[in-house]
Amino acid sequence: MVQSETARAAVPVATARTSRRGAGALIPYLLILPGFFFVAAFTIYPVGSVIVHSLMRQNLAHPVPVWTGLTNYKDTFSDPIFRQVLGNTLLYVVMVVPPAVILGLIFAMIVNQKSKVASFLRTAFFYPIVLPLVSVASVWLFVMTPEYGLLSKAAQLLHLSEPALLRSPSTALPALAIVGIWRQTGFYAIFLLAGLQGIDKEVENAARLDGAGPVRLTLNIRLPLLWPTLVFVITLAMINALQTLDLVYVMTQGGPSNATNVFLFHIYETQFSFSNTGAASALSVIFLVMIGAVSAVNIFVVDRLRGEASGA
Amino acid sequence: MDRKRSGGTMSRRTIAKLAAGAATAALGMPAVIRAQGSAVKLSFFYPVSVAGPLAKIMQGMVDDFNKANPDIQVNASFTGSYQDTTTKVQTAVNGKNPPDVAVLLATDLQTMLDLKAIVPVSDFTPGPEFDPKDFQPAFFQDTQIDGKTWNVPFQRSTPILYYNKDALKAAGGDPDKPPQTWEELVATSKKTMGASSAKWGVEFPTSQFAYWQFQALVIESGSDLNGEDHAHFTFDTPEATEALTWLVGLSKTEKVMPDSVIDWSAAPTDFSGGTTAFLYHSTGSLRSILSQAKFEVGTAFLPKNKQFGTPTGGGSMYLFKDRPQANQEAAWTFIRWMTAPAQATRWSLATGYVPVRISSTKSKEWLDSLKETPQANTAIEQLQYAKPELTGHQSGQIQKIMDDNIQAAVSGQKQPADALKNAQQQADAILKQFR
Repeated sequence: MVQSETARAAVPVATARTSRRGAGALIPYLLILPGFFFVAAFTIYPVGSVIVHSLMRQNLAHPVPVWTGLTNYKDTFSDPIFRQVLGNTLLYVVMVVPPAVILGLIFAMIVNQKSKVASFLRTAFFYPIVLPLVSVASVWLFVMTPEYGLLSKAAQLLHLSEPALLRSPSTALPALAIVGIWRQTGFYAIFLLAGLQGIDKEVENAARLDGAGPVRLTLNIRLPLLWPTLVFVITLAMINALQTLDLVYVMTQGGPSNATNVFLFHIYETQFSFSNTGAASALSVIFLVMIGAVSAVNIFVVDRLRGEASGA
Repeated sequence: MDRKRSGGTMSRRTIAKLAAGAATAALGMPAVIRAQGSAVKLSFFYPVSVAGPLAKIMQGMVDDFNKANPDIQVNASFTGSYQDTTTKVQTAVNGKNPPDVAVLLATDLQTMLDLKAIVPVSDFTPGPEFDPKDFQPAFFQDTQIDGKTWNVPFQRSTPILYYNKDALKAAGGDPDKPPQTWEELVATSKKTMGASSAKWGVEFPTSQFAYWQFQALVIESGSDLNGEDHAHFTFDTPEATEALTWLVGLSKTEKVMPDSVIDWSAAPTDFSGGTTAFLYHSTGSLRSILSQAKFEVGTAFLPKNKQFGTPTGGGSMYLFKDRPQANQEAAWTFIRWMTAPAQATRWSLATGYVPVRISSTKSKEWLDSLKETPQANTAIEQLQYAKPELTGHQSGQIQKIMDDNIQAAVSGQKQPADALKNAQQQADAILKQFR
């Protein structure tokens, strides 16, 4: 309420500023102060603080912070566990993002057809994302439990060798990726569905009149027009995959043998289990840069695409 | 940057325990309300890491303490696994808001000292029930640093060998003569796999506490993982390599154990369900296994290689800094009550943990129970071969390094010798800061 009133009051002042410079010029800054305060307190200060801590040595051996420059970063990059964690995280992104986005696109196209089951399918696809992730992970943990789990029971019935997916370092991360795909696909389908429905029907009809079949219509009309949405969804999927933590925490705790230890879990254990504030801060900064890079791609590429789309 | 924090390691069993604990807490409500007023309120964190409804049993004991001590009000919080509990305590300590009392691993002592989080219990008036000489010496030695007593043994344990007597009989063995050596264990495992319904000979869980049970194998081979002090460990030794090679061989060459990493919390169910004939697990799981198994359960010393051997294990009660003195005094009263002979007997009878008090093992209640369940005596007798559990600076991280490398070896990712070499390098990289 208060903010909207001040915003309305700001309009004449802001227009008056061009003619009458002076004390009035400060008012816009005063008006953004409340908003700036929250950004400063909850984004700028924490980011600054984590950067400062990443340049200091502070752990159980050295409880008092001491300036060490880039030592924490050097140690981090030479740590074999960090390299494993980075590899796991990127591998997880590669395993989750393409299937989740492609399946999401297929789902969106199915639901986009006018059919009687469309609303049922929409609910079914969207369902996994509204369930609390910790419960979801617990259920999947049960499904994948050797001997008693659903998967093992099914294998026993079919006389197949029993899978012990979470027991083995080579299968644990793919097993988590399956849960990740199951969880995210419907979410991306919703965005892509909105994108599909936003396509001008006249363009589609024109293409149909020109004799385009469903395949041509999809490849040459819908996909190019959907491209900005698709890039946005891919970026979102990458950031979500990079930020995976809950699944790992509940299902594997990073094991076996660090095979599912991903970036956020490693930051968490470094700070809260090993009390190594310096190393955890350096890890956080590296993570921030990674996320920032992905977001930057989103901002620049998508904006350019939007520009091209509207220009064309 | 958003550090999402979920509830805890929720296996189905811990959820059940949590529910049981919550239910007991709810039922105990009227007593709680009556006891409030001018009472000193204490917060108490405790983990559960063995099989059985331990949260319920713990809440029952805390309720009885509150009834007996109307001027003190203990609020017990079940805080997940040992690792979860240590993490919560560290976070609370860093936030200058520690609990009054917590059960943490006995091996967390050095870490808590490095955190400057705890006060020595020997600074408080001992009182008649606290007699250091009445604690099992193997456990009490873990509480000492710089001539001070820093915690009080509470739920202490060792790993023991559980075995299925019916399976042993079916394999033509004497059910009262379990295997005594590594070779005998492998040979008997092979026989039981052919002759009984047990699908596997033996399970040695490595998903958690791999370092702990592995330390037993190393001690049995004539060495140890603990080094000369809390900043040195001896992981890369011929004895450790021999132990890890044998462990890996159980599944890879002898084929008597399931492949890869076996789950710590599911293993007791595998055993009591008859899936495996032998099980390496904490004595803390004894009562749960006895009540679940539909066959006669035997317990034995861990089989020897060159000698018998086991590490001590389990948790002790810690008192924290940055609390009002009235709270610390009340907390000390609570710790003394919980570790007094009567409670030590009660806790052991309900769980299977080793009675921490010598007088408990001589009480009529305990001796009577041994007539019913002589299996409970194994761990006490095995204490004569016990060495302190792997501990030192950053013990949680060091233990995890060992776990990770053992898991890499049993899943075939690393050769045993390489795994131990890596563990040594990683541990040294951390510990050099403390030397």
